[in-house]
Amino acid sequence: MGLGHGFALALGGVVVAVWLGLMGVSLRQAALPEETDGLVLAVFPPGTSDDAAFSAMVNAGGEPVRPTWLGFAWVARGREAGFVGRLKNEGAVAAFGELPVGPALGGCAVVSVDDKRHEIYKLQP
Amino acid sequence: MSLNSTAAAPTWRTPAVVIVCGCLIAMLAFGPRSSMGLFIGPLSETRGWGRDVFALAMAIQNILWGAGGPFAGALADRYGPAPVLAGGGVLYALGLWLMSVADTQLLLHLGAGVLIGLGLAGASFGIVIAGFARMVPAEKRSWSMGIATAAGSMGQFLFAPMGQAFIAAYGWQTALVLLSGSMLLVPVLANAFAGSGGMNNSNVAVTGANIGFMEAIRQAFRHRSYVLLVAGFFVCGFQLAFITTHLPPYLTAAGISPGLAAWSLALIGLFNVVGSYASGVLGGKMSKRYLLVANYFLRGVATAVFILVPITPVSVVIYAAAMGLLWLSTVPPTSGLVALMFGTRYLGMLYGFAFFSHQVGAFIGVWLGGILYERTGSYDVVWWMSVALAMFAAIVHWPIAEKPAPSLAGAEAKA
Repeated sequence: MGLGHGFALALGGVVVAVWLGLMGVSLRQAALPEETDGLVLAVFPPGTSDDAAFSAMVNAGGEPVRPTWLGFAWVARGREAGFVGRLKNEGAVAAFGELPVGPALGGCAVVSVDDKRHEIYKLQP
Repeated sequence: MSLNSTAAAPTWRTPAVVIVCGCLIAMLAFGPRSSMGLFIGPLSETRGWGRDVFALAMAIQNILWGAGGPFAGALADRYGPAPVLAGGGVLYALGLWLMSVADTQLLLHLGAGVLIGLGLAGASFGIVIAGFARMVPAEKRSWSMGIATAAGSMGQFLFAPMGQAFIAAYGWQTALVLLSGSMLLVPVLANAFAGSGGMNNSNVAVTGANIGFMEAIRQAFRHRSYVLLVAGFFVCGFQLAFITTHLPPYLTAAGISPGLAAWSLALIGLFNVVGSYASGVLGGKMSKRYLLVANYFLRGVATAVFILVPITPVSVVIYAAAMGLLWLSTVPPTSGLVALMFGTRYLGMLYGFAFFSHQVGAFIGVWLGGILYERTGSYDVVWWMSVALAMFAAIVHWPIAEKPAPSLAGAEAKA
């Protein structure tokens, strides 16, 4: 392949593919066990409607707290053990104790020292 | 301009392999750094430190990155980029590992500050670009500088969520160890540059008179166009650092949701990939000087419009996209101009000085933003200062002579 736009696109594509693989493994590790209750991030298949997600959370014995920018991921609270397992039975893909994806930018010289950001992402005690 | 030799490097070190390895190094070097802010919460919580402890480590890191740039560049010019990149990667990895186990403030400052700062000086895109300039055909040089800068930008964009996922999956200390491990790939990848070592190496295309480091510095700072370029790069640092630090609180104070304020920075990062690459492509086809004039002028216009119109989610998104396109797109034409003025022989060091000016501007942008906000109760003064500096940078780039420095031509004629 010659050096040009195609080369750049192919390189970018391979990098993104590797990144997606690593993210997949990490997110699988980060998923909460089925017996977990409390505040969680419930992730549904992309394209799930708000109504369907809402019903799933209620049927699992929990309550929706707020939607996220992703649309198919909701912060939900379950007060009884096994909430995550029930969410999965209702169609959720996984549940997390933290919001595992979020924005950040370093710039050439700057790193944010916002020590509150972790609290925003952290759901489980 | 003399060309020592264009003899072929060892077979597998083709320009394509060098570019892939260089881009991965740029990505790896910028990546973990963009995740640093994610660790302040859990680290401070575990150790019981205030944010001032982490902030000092970051300040040390930035100043050493900037101040170490000319030295790392000179080492790369003298011995080739490979050992410098490899050493930088090892120091970076050690710094990240030390962060994970640091139980005293001194150890944190040594790891996150000194080691990572020096690691960045040795392993970031400035050295990669100097290596590309030696090993990539001249007609692809600007493009290669663009793709290296874009790769660094992409590293920022991809590593931040990955750092967060690592923390969620494995805890913050293991996450740091994983990031440290990823930096050990740098010495492996740096091997691709091994054929470009040393200014007397006959296997690479080194251009520019062999006049010695001190003489090169003396001639560079006597050359008006180089001084103007370095002054302009100061403005780039000022604006980037000010926006990265102060845009989110500025937006939330104006009623924008914290989520969109944070995502505006991510949007800048995403468009930065496109802007950096496009800048490299354009730099190979048109005047680099005019490209820089246009960049700074558009930054000034975009910022002026942004602060004059009411702040809405739409204006935030448009401004973030515009600034993203203009963000690191100064790097390929700036490094390209240094190579054009003085050749590639001292490119690492001379670009390092320009980058140091960038880092000083960044320091002042962050500091002044905070100081003037405290004194005036708003960011208005610094925003307008940023507009004025953008216009200043556009003006000072205009008279830059886009040709080899006369002193260099004279030295080459004598050689």
